[in-house]
Amino acid sequence: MSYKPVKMKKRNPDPGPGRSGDSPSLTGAEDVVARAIQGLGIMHATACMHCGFCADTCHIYLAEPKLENIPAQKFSEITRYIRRRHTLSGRLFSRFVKNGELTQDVLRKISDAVYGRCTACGRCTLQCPVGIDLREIIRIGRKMCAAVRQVPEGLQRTVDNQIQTGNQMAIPREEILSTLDWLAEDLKMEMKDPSIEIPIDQPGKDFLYLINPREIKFFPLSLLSAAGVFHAAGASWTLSSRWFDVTNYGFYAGDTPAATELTRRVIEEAVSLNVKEIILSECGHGYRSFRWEGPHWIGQEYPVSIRSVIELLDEFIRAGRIRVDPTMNPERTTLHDPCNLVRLGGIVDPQRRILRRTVGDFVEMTPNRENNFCCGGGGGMLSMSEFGDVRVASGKIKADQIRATGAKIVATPCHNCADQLIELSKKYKLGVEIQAVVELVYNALIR
Amino acid sequence: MKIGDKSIDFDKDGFMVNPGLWDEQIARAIAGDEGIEEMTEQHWAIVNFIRNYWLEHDLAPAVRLICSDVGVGVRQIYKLFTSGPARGACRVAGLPKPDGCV
Amino acid sequence: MAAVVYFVLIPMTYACTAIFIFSLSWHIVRVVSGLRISLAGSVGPEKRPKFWGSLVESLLFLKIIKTHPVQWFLLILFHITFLFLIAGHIELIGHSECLQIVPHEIFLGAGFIGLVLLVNLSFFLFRRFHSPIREMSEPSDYYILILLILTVLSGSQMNLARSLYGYSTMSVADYRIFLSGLTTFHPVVPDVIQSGDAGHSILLIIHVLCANLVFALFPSSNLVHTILTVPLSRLQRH
Repeated sequence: MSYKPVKMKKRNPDPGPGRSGDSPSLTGAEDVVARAIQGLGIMHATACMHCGFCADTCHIYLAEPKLENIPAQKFSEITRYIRRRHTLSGRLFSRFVKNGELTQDVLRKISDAVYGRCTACGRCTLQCPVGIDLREIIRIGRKMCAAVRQVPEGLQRTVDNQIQTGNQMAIPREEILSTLDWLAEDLKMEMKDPSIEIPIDQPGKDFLYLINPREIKFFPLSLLSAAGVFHAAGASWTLSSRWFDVTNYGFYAGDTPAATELTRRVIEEAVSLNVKEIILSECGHGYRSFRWEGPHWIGQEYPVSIRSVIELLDEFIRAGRIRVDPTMNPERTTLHDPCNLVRLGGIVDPQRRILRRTVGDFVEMTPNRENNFCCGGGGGMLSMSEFGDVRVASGKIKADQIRATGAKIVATPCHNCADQLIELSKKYKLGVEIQAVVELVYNALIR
Repeated sequence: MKIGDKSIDFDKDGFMVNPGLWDEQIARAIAGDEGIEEMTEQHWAIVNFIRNYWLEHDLAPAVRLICSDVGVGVRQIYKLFTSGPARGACRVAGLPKPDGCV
Repeated sequence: MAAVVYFVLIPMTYACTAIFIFSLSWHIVRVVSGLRISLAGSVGPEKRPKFWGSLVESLLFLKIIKTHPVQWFLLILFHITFLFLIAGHIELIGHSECLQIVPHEIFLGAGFIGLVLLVNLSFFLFRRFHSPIREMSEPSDYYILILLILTVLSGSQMNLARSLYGYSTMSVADYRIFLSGLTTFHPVVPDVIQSGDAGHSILLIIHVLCANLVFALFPSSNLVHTILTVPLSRLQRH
């Protein structure tokens, strides 16, 4: 399988502050819909009979029971447009009614609904008695907005950063290298082993470890822990200083060309470093996009396999490559299931097996696993300040869940969720500490 | 919101809309909201470093720079600012919200 | 009047049934040809459910059994009585041995079928008047529901009238003449309806009129997608 060199796609110039510039033409959005409704898409998009069963599955509706927060209601504008444009009765009667026309105004409403009142967590899809994939229709809305650059400002800026600089926080390469040096020094001291190093750009290793830029810039402890655990397990691994970003904000924005580009870069890098496997750091949507959506974006199977670090840690512990002592983490710990990793990613049990071995007092919150509530920070919410109030309010469900467990530590295998949970702990006075799973494993290492 | 004799606007994430208006009194008010009971010398050292770095580079500094400049351990920062350097310290220093996954 | 009666009972019935059959087949062709194109959202970790398992799950609405037990019960009851209703109408076309395994009077169910359906349909309707579902509902959600209620109301009234109020001038035999005529393409309107002697023949006209409208409108309503989506989306998902 051969890979063509990455070509940077030319993107529209930044439209400046405020809402992205109004493009005069909406044909981009119309094309998105025309593609999306092929096959069963049209059935999903028009089958809703407004039964309302989805309402109480949604954390945003539960926090604020308003009509427009009902999942089915969030895409009503999209459905109206599809019905007008793509069904027989719609086409027959469309000249008599205005209902369902696609205008800038309608698109702005769609944008507010699909980015600002939905985290695309997919919990409503589980409940729909008809089997409509509600999340997918929301994603159609996001793709429509992205096609005409109607993506909320903060999210769009993050996508642009990621495309232009290779990582969503626009961290320069020198900064990455010196931070890794600094972390390696810290790690040598903590593990009392001067031979430890954090390998960068080394070809021919077993796996390439992708990290969240947040781990370089603001929260390096999870990277430090991962490096420590990999060293203890004698793993052969490397980081990349070029394309190392596990996140994919193109996926959040619904910007498929950007998402494709980001995926292709990483796969390219893995091929050029000649690794057997890509290991994804703890990241919900990163796993969802690399593991499940990516091959469809780039249009072929990957030449390397992809796993989450959670699966790798589980393997290390089960194979005895690292030894852990649960008494090192004596505090009561609960686990938050990131939607994109669990419900939409399929990684359910490895993190539980890990925690049972590394934590003294592990309790589940209810509901959990595939049925878990979103923390409120998913779907790119954390990068969009304009919806900050919705985000914090909708996290109340999660805060109550955490409080009910009486836990002191909340483990979550997702950096995005972690940020939201930290804020929830502050706003709702939970007094809990948020930790990545790998940090708990590192704490429990028998050195 | 009224702090001292200034009225300050915050965005929905609690970051200052107009970072130019920042002063020590505002920093104390935000710190109170963060749950920091008293701004110690170390708090101030971190906040001032972030503030000056931002004024110079128009960027929030990485945690490595904070630690090596102020001379605190990496684990120490999360004890001082429980929300972490981004949503905690940068907010107290009156920066706009850093982009991305924070 | 006789012309209207004739129009509703014969040409309109044929026309509406034709619309029903053609649009439904068009939908089915569209769905089956669309099965090859996978929904992006269906890409994922879910294990492919077993064929029968998924069919049972979707037909029995197992998803809501735990969260909304009462509504689930009514929904199931509704669908079961609907099956009985179809059986009852088949018996009105002609005598059928296999449906008479348990001997019963025609029409099947002695009036209870209509009653249960009516209770169910009114529940579905009144549920819509309740916030927030009222604000969510669109006109298309109402018209099939109201037409169904009118159909069931006039239909069960015909049945009850025959047994309770002694309007026995219109017998099962008359219905059979009408319906079997329709199905064999030799339509006749029985004299007893045409003459208007039978007190409740007007109910038959209303019943057929509403049922015709249901037939004609159903394929273009969102309900048809709903019904087709149920099993297919489950079967297609990985």
